[in-house]
Amino acid sequence: MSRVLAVAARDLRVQLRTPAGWLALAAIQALAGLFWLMLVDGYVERRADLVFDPYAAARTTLADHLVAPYLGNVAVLLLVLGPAVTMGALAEERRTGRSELLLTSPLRPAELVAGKALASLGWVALVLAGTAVLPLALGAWAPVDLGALAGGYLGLGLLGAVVVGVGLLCSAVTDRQVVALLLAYVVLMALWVVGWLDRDPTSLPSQLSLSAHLRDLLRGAVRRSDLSYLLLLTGWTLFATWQRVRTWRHA
Amino acid sequence: MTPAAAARRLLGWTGVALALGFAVRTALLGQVDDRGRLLALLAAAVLALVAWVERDAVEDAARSPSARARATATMLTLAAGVVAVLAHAVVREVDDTVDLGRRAHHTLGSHTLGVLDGLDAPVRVTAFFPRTSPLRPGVASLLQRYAERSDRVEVHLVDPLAAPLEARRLGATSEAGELVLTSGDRLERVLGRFDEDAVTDALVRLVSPEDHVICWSIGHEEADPDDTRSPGGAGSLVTALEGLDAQVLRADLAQPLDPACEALVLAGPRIDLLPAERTRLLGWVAGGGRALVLLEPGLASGLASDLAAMGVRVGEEVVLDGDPRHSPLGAEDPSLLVVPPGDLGDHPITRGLRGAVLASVARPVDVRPTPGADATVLLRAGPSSWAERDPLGDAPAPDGDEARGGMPLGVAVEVVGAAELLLPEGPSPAPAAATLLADTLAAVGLPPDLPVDRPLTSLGLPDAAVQGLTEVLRLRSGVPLVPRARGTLADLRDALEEGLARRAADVVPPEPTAPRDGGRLVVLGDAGLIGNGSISLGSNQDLLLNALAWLVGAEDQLGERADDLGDDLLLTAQGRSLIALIALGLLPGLALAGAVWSWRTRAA
Repeated sequence: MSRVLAVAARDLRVQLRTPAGWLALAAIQALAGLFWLMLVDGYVERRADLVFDPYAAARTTLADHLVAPYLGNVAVLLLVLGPAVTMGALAEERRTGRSELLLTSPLRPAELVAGKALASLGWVALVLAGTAVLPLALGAWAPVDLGALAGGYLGLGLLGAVVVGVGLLCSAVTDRQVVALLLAYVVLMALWVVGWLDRDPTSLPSQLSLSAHLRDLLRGAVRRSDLSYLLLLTGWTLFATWQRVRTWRHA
Repeated sequence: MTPAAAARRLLGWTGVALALGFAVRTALLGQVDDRGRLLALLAAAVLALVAWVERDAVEDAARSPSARARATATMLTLAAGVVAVLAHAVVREVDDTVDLGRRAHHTLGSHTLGVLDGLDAPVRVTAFFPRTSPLRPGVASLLQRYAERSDRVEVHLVDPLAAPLEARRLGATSEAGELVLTSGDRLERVLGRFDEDAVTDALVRLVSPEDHVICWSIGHEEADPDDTRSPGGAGSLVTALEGLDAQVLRADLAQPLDPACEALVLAGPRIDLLPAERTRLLGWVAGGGRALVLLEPGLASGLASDLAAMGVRVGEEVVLDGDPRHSPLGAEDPSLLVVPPGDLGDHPITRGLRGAVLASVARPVDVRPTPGADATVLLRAGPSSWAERDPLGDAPAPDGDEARGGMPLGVAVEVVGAAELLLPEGPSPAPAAATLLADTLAAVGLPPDLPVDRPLTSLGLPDAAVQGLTEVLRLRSGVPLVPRARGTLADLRDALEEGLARRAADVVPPEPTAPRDGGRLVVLGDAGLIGNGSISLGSNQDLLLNALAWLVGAEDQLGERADDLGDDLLLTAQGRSLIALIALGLLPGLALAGAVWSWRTRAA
């Protein structure tokens, strides 16, 4: 475990000591802030428009019509920027030859993968913590549904884990960062949009889709099958990454 | 890579993809269908072909450690994928949702759960929504919750453009989407609104063997069941009842009640019932009938005292509460009462309610231990509430002898021993006009020894007092009285006598009823609860619908219906600027500061 933590700490330190990592974080915060502001303005206008439509007004809630769309935007930001964090995690180690050094050390492949994943998850946690400030701050003006918000961030955390898993797997199958990045985008975007083929939640495309499994979670409804999908997908990608890294010893 | 090698590799991956497709499809469907069998056959054939074509490579791989390691890793990864898919399929079989949201409106409400659990026949829900419809995902997700909860609900999502024959068969014609619920040869449609309330109401209509008949008493200035606009009208509740396929009929307590009535509603009579009408009502409940009675403070005193025979003590006071935690306006208007879910009684009517009941100007309604009647308090005002005898006095406060603390506001009674109830033998004689006049003079604070033969205007009484006297007399007697300029008390008494005689002549004497157990009675101390102005507040409507469901014996329909009031977001210009500052300045600025720090650290 200490070796896992050592790898994670080293990678996280590298990310935090690189201005690019912080700039990426600033970009995410600025984009998330912009989305938030637009959604807040939209919500205020929408409520005003619904004065004469009590039925629709009764169904317009902060959790569903402001916080959930915002978390949806944060999810897309994670999809776009997450692979950029993981792209070099293994590909760069391999390209520079550090992976051979690492694998001839007492460090086991599983520990290497777990450490890398932990470091990337640390970065995801930092991003999510920053974006959570905005809905929490709204509590000064309106009753924020903390339960729904917690459910939404559980979903985002699990999405972050999937992004990290897919990103690491793609980084493990190639020694070129750009290829790893593009590959991760293709896989994640495919998983995101496949649900659009058939929006029936019981259909096969929806069952395979990241966005379909996140929809209820972002509104605070934690479905067992959604958790299972996200956890199993993360677990499988990390397992596949581990298997891939194991073969490096024989390359 | 040569083209032949590339083709072999492509063939290999095709075989793997086919096998994976078979595994995923089978796991998700929970069965092997024709397409699944075809996939499995194709996968087996392609993989066998690859093994044959690549037999030399396979042989080499068996000798090469790196190839062996890669093959092992690939097999293990594939196996892990299959295990993951199977594990997910198992989880889907026992799927469940926990709603962390405050309103929990992404899970089904207790009312819907009760209806679903009570289903005893299969129900097929066909949702006709085009694939491009923005409503389709939400409706599909909602219906999935119904199907997950009950094995008897089968959901089909159909694109009417792709399956026009199915749409025509079920008569679905709406372009905006439509739900068709069928069970046996019964069919219900949902159009326009596709929320939980609408679907559950349709389900109730579909599976209810026949409509429930609710009789609404009229003739005593009760809340008007046809009035959907004014705050005191009861049209909103009646609309909700009719949405559940209940028939609401008008009933006159002066006449024998329709035997089809499953429950009688007496919604805040302003005019007191005649003794014969009260006897009919009590006899109805003692004979196994069901009734919901809502009484405003200071009105229908005769009925209020007669209810004691059924195990209900109705006080003449007004319940007040100055504690802002239980009264929204605190001491400013202590007659507004909030009964949080925790202060609702443990009874089927109130058990499923998650929201507060909001009452205004209520009278105490408590249990009076009575043989033969099993009574339960349904709701209580806050611990600092009290029963005020003089609510119109300056700064009302609890006096020494006034009851205080958790004042009961409603009671549900079940008759468990009808023969033991001590009901009056027959209607008590109507009070004589003179007695009624004397009582009313005392009640409105006028001296009882006023001369009866002098015009009221010559007695030096304020106009308001004369009008108040006439109005209270009218409410107590049900006789319309018009104050005349030169009228005397004797004129009033004569008009009263004549009116009472006329009213009594219209009443058919109550028929004797044989005592029968199973009668149910709900008495609430605030008739305003039923009004259009209050029904949508908190859980008021659910309380009343539950009470009626309990009364008609539809226990599977008890619970909280999905409801919501929406969230307002009132932002001042300053507040909006502050949000913008945090969103676009503070948080990105902190990250930028981090970038500067890291740059300086590296430079150092």
